[in-house]
Amino acid sequence: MRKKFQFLSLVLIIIVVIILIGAFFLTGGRTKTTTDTNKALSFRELVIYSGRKDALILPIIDSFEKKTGTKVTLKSGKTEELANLLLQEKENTQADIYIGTDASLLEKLSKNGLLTQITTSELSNIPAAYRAEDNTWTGVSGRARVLMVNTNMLPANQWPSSIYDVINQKWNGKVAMANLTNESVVTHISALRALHGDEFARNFLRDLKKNNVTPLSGGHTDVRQAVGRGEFSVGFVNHYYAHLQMQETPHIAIIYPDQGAGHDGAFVNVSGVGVIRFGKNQSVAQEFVAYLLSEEAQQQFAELNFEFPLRAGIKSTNTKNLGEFKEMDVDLHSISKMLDSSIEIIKQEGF
Amino acid sequence: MFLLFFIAFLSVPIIGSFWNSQYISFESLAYLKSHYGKPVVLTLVLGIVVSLLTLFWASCALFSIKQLSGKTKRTLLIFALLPLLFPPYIGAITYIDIFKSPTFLTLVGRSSFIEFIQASFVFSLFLYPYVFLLFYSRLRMISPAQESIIALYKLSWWKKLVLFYIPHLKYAGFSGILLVFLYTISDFGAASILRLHTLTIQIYQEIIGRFNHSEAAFVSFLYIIFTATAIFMGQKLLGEPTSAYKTEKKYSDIQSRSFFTACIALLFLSLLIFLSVGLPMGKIGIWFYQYLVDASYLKSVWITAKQDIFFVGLTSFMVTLGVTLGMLFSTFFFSALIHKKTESLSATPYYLASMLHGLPGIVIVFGLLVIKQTLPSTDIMAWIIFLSGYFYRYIGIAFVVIEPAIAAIPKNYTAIAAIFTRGKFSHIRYVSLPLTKNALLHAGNYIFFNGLRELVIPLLLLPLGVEVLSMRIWQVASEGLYSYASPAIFLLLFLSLPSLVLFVKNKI
Repeated sequence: MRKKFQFLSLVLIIIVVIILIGAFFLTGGRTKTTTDTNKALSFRELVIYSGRKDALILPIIDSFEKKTGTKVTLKSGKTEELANLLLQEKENTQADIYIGTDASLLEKLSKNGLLTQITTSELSNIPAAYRAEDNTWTGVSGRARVLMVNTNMLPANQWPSSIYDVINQKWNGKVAMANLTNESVVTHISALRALHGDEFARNFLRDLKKNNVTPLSGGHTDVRQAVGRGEFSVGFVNHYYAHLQMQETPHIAIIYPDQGAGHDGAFVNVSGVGVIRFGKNQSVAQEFVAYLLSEEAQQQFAELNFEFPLRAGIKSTNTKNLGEFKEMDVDLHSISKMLDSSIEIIKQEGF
Repeated sequence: MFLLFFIAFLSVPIIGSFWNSQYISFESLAYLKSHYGKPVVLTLVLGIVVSLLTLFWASCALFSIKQLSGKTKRTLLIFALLPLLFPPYIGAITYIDIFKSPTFLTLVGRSSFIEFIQASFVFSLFLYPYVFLLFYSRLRMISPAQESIIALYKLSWWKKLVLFYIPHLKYAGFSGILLVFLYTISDFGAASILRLHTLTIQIYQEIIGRFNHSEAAFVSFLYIIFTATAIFMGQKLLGEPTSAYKTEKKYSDIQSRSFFTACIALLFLSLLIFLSVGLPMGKIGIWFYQYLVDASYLKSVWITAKQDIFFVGLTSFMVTLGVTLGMLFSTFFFSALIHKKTESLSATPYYLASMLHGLPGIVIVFGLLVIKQTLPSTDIMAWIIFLSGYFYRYIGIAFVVIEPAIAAIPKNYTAIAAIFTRGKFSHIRYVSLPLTKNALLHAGNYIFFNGLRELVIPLLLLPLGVEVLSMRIWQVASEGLYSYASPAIFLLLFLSLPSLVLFVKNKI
């Protein structure tokens, strides 16, 4: 009887110890308090759903955490995946902030009533063209759709100068792009539709297929690495991917397409941020947005990430800035509303 | 009653897959062809080619092992099984870096066909030990007396193969290649890295990239039908399903004494081991060295801002251990309860359990995701859904191992225990547990070994603020930062090693 009791007690103790150890470590210190007297009595927390690459957003989150004593929980993933998640979670979400790499997805979340107005005064430093009409989201940094070229494979006199060059027969099988479920690609198609009409966009998609332009499921990172390795001569990417690749393999050239007179110009999209309406930490979320739009964070975007800062007066020293190349003349607000129909067109064309 | 429960349990992913679906739109022939035609053909062809390749590798390895003896044989046998340590997605990460190097590209070029061959090669290298183990276990059950008699007839090696070895080994071969086939067609990680647009990738892209998930639901349903068919046909070929865990007498091997064949065997095995173990380990070692000497800011970002790697490893270990213990506990008591009420089970539950284990993880996850969206989004709910994914994934294997062991306990043992001991559950302590401990260990080991490496479930169901090793490896490798993935890879291999030793020891 006594042995039986000892045996059961031992088993119970082991189970409890395992559970306690697990619970202690798995909560990851969420109950820790700060020693700052101003914040000692309140634990500041923020949950961010981020579609940005970790390496590009973590330094900024790190700075915010140190500056404000906020404990940030970051859920990373693909932009469209996290937008999907928010649409499914609705009022049950745990997120306070959504950082997306595409204006269309931010607009979609806004139209579904998931974002609330941004109240920070820093918003006035961002041009109206790069934020929502109702201020439910704002751009944080800009990115241009460019062509990147492996200069070991192509001499300068053979480089393409337009996105429409990639459907030329001489580039058959030599061009890579991100998969056509990628949000940047979908929004670019929306921009072409806005500029030239649906039929033009459909023909362009058909020509991409005919010319064996290869969509890579690994996204723009896969594209830039593939071009860097020499698998493809040309890649269709957001400009900062080309810069990132140049850091690893110097034989890369960046081409801002369609710059000539009468040409479309390069399409510029924004990566942005929205405050989730149903988030539990609204005030901290608004503070975080204010931080992203501050000079300090905008400078970090410019220097670390090779992106275009959107705040007036902040310039990047290692990439072109907005205004230094010809941009496609499209309204980001109107093309943001074309997301669903562009996805349908892409599906209909067999992608 | 049990059957009803099991069907209800199995239906959750199916029902979940169609829950809240909006409409299924098949837009055009071009869309159908590219979205379904190509992935279906690619998935099936990949499964078949990889199965045949693994059969080839395993057969050659088996023949080679038979030519050797003593310490050389034991050493090479262990090394030949080491590829089991690498989940296919880690193997794919090491090889993609080689296949996509400028030198390799210059030599071989690039095309869809070459990428398919490369992918089949990689899959077969890391899956052949499953077939090899089954072959070797079965070979050791052949009595040496029989082999001696065959040797007396002085038959050619071809006739010996056809008349003697194939009849003895065919069922092991069928089991092995069925297992490899199901693993291959349900793989997500390696297929994604190797740029294969299989059906699992199709489902994943639909889940994350489209706002109407009805097509993902449809493809998931196709997978369920297909897996059920494959397992049913496989079981028909192999006979009635039996316990996955059996102890049978094993004999020592009789080896050929030809020096020439022994040399060929040694060369072949060395090459196979180099390709499947040496090269990947070398690559990971190089990445780890690069990681140690890297002074860029990125390294500090990954150490300080992300959770430290040991914490991630501990989380992986705790989650997997908890899941394993929970599943063993629940399966043991559930099976004991069944056998209290019924004498024996029909084959149907085994088919269903095998089918559940054969389903791709992405199908199970998709069903759970759809259910998750109807529930409040709290930490507890997120953990329940996350752990349910593991439960669905591995309950089948726990059942087919543990249940037969419990069924094999004679009823009179329990009656005797009731006479000589006191307490309602004394028979469990004195009879059931001791007699099933090997089966529990075997099942637990298998679940722990595979649960630690599981990728799809954490990829889509991981609760907030938690990170496991497979996710860290995947996240970092997806960004091309292979050197930053190396600490997590080493930790995963290290944690998997004891399980592998136990797994292999049981079989050989």
